[in-house]
Amino acid sequence: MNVENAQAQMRKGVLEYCILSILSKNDAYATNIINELKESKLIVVEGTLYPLLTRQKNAGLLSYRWEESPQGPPRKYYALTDAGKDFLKELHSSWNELVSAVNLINARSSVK
Amino acid sequence: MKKTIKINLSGLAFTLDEDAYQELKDYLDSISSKFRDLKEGNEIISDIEARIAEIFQSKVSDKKEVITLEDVKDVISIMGKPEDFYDTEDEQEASSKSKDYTRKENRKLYRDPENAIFGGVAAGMASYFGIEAWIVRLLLVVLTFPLQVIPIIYIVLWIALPKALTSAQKLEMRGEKVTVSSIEKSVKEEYENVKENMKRVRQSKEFEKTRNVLGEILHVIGQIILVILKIILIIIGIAFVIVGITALIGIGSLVFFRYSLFRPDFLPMIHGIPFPEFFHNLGDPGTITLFGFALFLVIAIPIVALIYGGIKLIFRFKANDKAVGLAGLVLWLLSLICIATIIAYDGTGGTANGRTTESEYLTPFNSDTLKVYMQKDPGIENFHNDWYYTGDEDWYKISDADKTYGKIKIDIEFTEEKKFEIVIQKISNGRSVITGVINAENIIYRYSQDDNKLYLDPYFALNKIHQWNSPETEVNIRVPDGKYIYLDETTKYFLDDVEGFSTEDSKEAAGKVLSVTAD
Repeated sequence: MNVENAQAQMRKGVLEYCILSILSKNDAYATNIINELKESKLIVVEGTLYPLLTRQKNAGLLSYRWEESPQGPPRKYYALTDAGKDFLKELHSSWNELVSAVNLINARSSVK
Repeated sequence: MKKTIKINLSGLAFTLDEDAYQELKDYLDSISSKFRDLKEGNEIISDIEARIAEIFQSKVSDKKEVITLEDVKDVISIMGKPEDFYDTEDEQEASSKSKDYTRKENRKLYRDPENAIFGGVAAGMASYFGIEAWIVRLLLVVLTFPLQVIPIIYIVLWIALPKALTSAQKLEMRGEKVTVSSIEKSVKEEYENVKENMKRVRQSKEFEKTRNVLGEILHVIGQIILVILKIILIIIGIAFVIVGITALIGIGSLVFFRYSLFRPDFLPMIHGIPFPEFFHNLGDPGTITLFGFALFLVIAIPIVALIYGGIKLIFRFKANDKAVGLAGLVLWLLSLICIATIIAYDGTGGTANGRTTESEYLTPFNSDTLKVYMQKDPGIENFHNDWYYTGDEDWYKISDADKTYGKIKIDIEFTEEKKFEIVIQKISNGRSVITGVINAENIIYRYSQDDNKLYLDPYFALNKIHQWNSPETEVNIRVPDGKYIYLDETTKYFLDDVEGFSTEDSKEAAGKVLSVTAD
């Protein structure tokens, strides 16, 4: 058990949540999402994203459309579906519960 | 100076240095081996390829046209190696799969949809062997004439082989050339594996500490056996292919092109009937063609399966065996049902016996003796006059382009009437007495009279459009009291029943002048 591994596990857990959250603001194609995730240091390599996007799409949380790009091949633009929005709501509330639970435990521990 | 390789990635063309190409190929192989077994695998792979294409696109310009090894390494560091991917669903699997990255992918046989004319089988094979597609196509077309099975094998491969869709599959499809040296190389690799395992045994702590090496030794022996087995499998595969193709050629030419490969006298005889003629006994030409085709499939499908198995053993490609197997099985069963039906309805169509009788008085002539000769030149293509002088039963049936001929029988009888009479009895089997009679009426028989000479055709004829149902023709010549009959030597082997002679001696009557009396 090392620190990097534990951190990676944590990031991994919230990654799907973050993808949905990013898409709830704007439709985006993979590179947009990657850039945001990279800025917040949630992912290191881009390859991680593609299987996740495909699975979320196949689960009905995302839809996509093809758009021509100014350079290079056409891009897949992803958007949240209604199911995706509901799913995100659930995750929002679980996240808030989780954060307050962790804070509560941390606060109690620091009291001791 | 460096060699470059052109590739198509996600629909865009790029030129890569050779080392860059190798690096990219290994990388895409590793991606492919991580995802290809998942149901959404192809989509993930093509998404990743699209992204790589996008990055490549940003790396080329008017001044820099070729993707270098640096660029590829850059891409790999951006995209990450498969073992760096977070995977929410199959973490354990990912760790075991990451080993695959170091494993060398063998080249695989795919169909190449981009260069396809029909299914892309030829193009895929061309890629596999590293030759131009038109060479493979030309070979296939030219070889189809002596090897009629090639179209069948083509269709089987069309169904069986997966299409090369992603770039990784296309790279796999090209791979290295299959040459003796590449087979040697793969055998060497196996050998290296074995050697490494041996080393591991020698160096292992287990060996020193517990001496419990039995397991390891067994493992090594297993590895050695595996290598030997692989070689044997390849040899068996080649044998399967050769045996199968030879058998198919033989059967194909027997059923369809009966005289193309074997001379008819080389064919086996069934009850004295040349093999292809034997089918003719079964029914009308339409049924025979259907029967021949069904019989061909019933025999050929297992042989094609054998060849297919052989090809699989040699090249070890991934294929949709279920679809092929099912299609083959269904086709095979259908053919079998077809044959069974034809035999049930037509083959047994010989149980009832029909008979027609035509009777005619001979034109009166000024002599007491009727002379009977066999027609010297009956106008039958394959007829030989020396058959008059041999009793060889093999010649009881012959055929030419549109007729089949059967040997007649001659009976000599006594008649109460005052005139010579000739009675032609035509006999044939049929499903019922009525069809038997109808079949019998299709028999053609000729004779001619010239004063006191009677010329009999040695053979009756049946057009090939009619069913051959054990037809027979008996010529009865009835001799009145006090008259004589002379049987020419040529009639000898046609005489069946002569009044005054026993059945065994009937042939003795030839060459004699006889008077026939009532018993």
